[in-house]
Amino acid sequence: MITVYSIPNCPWCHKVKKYLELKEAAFTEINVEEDEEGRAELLKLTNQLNVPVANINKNIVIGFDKEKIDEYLALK
Amino acid sequence: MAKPQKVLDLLIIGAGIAGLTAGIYAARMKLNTLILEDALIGGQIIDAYGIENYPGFHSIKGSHLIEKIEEQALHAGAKIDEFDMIIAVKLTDAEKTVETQSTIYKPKTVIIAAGMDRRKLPVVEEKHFRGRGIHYCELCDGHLYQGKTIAVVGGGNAAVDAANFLDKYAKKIYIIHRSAALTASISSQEKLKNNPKVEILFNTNILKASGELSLESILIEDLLTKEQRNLALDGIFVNIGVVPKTQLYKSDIELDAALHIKAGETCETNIKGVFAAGDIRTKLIRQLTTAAADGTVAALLAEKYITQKERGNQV
Repeated sequence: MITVYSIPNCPWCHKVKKYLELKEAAFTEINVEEDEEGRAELLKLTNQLNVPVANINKNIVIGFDKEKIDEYLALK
Repeated sequence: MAKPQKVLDLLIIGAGIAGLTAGIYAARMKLNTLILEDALIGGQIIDAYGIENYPGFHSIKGSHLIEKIEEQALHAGAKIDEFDMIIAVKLTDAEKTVETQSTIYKPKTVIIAAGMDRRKLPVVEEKHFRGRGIHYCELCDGHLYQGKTIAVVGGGNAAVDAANFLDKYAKKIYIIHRSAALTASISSQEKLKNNPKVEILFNTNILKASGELSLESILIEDLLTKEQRNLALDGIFVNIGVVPKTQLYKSDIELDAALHIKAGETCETNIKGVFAAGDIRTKLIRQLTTAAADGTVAALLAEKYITQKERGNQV
């Protein structure tokens, strides 16, 4: 299961989502600017609130990091 | 496993205005063209809030303008890869090699339109607090400062526009600027100066950043009186200019003292078949329109170079 924590109009969030789409990896998106529960979840998960964050089967990627995303997508 | 090699007519490095414009022209001339971008398509203007000096639009967001130009380049037949990263470059008159994480490209011509990177805040603690109080993308990180006190460092358009944008989150915004006056457009300055949340600290330098887990204060110095004081705040957004992204090319391509690629109005570099377009090249005026003009010139001359070479003419 993949969750992307993001905010609207964030270009790096857009890039992470575009890359996951390219890799045909389905994900759920949480807008932490509006979703307070999602915001709390992100804080608990990463101890910070910077976005984008991708939670790929419980492996966390902060920012756009292609190598890490590839590595975690390969772990199934 | 060895990386695949690909031959191209034209490899464009950078998908900002210059690179995308070059892509439009090259693809329309039926050159086999690839645009590589290792950061964000659009480059510096992706986070511009309102562009009012690009012909055809009274006002347009940077991201919207780029969407239109990107779509036009793709429609013309250019290919864009924004997920591969260049790791090595070897450019000579005889041969051009650009190696990415996935592929070794052997293009006949190269247009370097890699643009600029934001200048980092020059304090030793910058790395420690990057992302934890020191930021470079207000669109990405502004939401972290709802009801908090922040500073925007810089005095140009990017800084003032950033402060105007961050107004929707922060309760207090300091503008910290080394000089005695802002250089942003008058309309942006007026909006800023009418905002009661904003306090401008002119002639001020940041000496140190402090905090436990995240940024809590900065030490600032008045450059006129030399008086130093601590300023408590939660975050800083840095907009103190840009530096050309020329590190990869410096062994092959001549750079000027400010590390821009030496190239004139023809965009030709010291290497035959290699062109520099947009903010990355030595030039007097850096605007979106001049970047688009460079992309045009570089693509047309790249096509001419290929044609002449194929005909066996001296180039």
